[in-house]
Amino acid sequence: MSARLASIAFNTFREAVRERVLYNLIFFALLITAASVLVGQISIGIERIVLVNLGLSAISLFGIVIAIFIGIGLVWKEMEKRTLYTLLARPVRRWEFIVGKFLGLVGTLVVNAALMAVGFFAALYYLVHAFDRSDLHLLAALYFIILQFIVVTALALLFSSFSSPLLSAVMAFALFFIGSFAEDLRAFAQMSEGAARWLTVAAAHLVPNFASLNVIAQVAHQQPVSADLMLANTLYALFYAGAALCGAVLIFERRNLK
Amino acid sequence: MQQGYDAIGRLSQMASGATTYVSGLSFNAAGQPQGFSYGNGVAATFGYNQRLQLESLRYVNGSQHLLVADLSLDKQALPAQLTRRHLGAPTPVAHPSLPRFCVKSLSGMPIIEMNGLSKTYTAGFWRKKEKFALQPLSLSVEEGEVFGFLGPNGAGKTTTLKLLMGLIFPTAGSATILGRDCGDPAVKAQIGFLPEQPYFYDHLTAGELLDYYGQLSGMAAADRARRAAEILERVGLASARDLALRKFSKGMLQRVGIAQAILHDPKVVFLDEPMSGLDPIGRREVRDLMQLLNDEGKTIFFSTHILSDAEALCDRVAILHQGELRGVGSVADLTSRSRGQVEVIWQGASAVEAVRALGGDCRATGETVRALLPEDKLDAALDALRRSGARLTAVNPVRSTLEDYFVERVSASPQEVAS
Repeated sequence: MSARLASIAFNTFREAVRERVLYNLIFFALLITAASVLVGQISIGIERIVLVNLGLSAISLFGIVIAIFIGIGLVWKEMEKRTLYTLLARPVRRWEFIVGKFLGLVGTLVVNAALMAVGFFAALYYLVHAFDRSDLHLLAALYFIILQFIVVTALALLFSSFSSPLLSAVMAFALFFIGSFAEDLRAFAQMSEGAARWLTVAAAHLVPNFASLNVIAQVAHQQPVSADLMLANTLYALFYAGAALCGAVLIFERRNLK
Repeated sequence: MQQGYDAIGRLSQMASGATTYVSGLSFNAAGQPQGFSYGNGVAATFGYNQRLQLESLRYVNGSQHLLVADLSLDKQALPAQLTRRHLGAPTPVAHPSLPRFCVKSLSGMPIIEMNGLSKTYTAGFWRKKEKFALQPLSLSVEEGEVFGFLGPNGAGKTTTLKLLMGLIFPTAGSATILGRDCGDPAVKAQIGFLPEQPYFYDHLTAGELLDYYGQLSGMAAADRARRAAEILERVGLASARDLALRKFSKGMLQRVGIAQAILHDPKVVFLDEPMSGLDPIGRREVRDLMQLLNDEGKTIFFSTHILSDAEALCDRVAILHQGELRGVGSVADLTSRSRGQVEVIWQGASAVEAVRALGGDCRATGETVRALLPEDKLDAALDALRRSGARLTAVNPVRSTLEDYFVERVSASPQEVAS
């Protein structure tokens, strides 16, 4: 990784931290503490399932919201505030700026998720007083959550490279929402006929498949995550995010700054 | 008095409207320039407070031109500002309060070249309406020059700078800096840029910002720390090094802007409205800093709509209006053009009527009378003064200012500009 990429990524991370993005951890801490106390009292026998569902969903959702809200501003804000002027007047290539920003935000999300994961495991230990082997599957679910962040961040950056923050946010959230039902969309596509079938099949395969990146329910029931799925999801997420980033770079390379 | 240096150059603001060649500068025992002779063989001596600093004067050996501008012949007045062109290593003036006698080297090598550079924006729903932000512009700026890019607001100055910085792309034409395409990263390592009303990452401190920009410019860690401290000191922000930029005033941000532009010791510095938003002291400081950078050999290209700044700093100016180049010229030439009038000052109110009769516009303050009259009436006026026994104090040709030229160019019709 070039030194410039690392500098841009680190500055993005530093900006997020100083803009108090990590404050969401306080809410997460409150949520997981309250949940672990309450769940223990109201759901006898299924405490673990409820806590895993709640904890991992919260880690995912908090991260996705941050990825979208920061991601859509990554390029736009620098253009609007014209901080990009002094940056691009240096020997920084435009693709380095986009990729550096991407890496910085993904880094922020990974750190954020790691801290939440620590809280989550602490709550889990508090509730069940022991860890067993099947808890390793939770790490697989966390890994998939990170993959989700990578895809969402790349998409937010793509939208941010050509549209306003509001529109970018709407598009990113819409894609995340639709993508979370990608499996249903694919099933629906199989049922339709004629031209509609082609359209729905294309749409179902174009939207990011967040459904397959979500194994929270599965690991909550202590079912393993196959190595094949890990590999397939990794390749899929990297390919999808890579394509979105390429799009962002292609658009940004040609863009006239205002 | 020793006639040591053989400085040959043009001395402007000498006689009425003429550009005169200095044929010899004379120096006193301390080595300070004491006087000079010019074209018609008349020698002149600097007044007691017109001594110039030899430290800033360099021997000229085979130079193609040595330009001395704005040197007043009036004994009472200080030689306001002398622009420098010479072939030796530049040296900063030791005592900035004293007038500078500056001699500057110009290799004649173009550092910035624009060839038909233009920018058109499309507007409207179908993007069919075209708006010229910059008409095809061809300009070249030489090494070591301070080049002023003048124009009213919206003239296309910022557009040109953004094109040169690769922030926007030209519709047609091209530009090179240091002999390479202006978008080349190798070029960008050697240029500095201060945008108009700069804004920086407000989550960083001034020190962190410079460190970040130093990294992006490919500077080594040790260099970055040293240079950042040095530059902050230079722009007067040493004490604000650890202060978050969000707490900076507009003037301080402008200084940080300048600091980041010169951090990596660039060869060419581009400044977009460097004095805007600054108070008179701040403006003066920025002007001095720009002069100092130029003394160090940097080429400076800056845009402004404040003509006095341009007149004080620039070797050459270009005037842009409505996206179109309206004129280019050397400041010394432009400001030495005669306006066909002379200013005559004398003691003794009795001659007022006689001078008024010659078409003079007289204003008396006690015994001192100041009159503006047409150049061709000067002899008659002097005769009148002599007859009335008035004591002549000064005769000064009235020169064009940069403002005169600016207004003339901006209000010129396109046909006039073309001719």
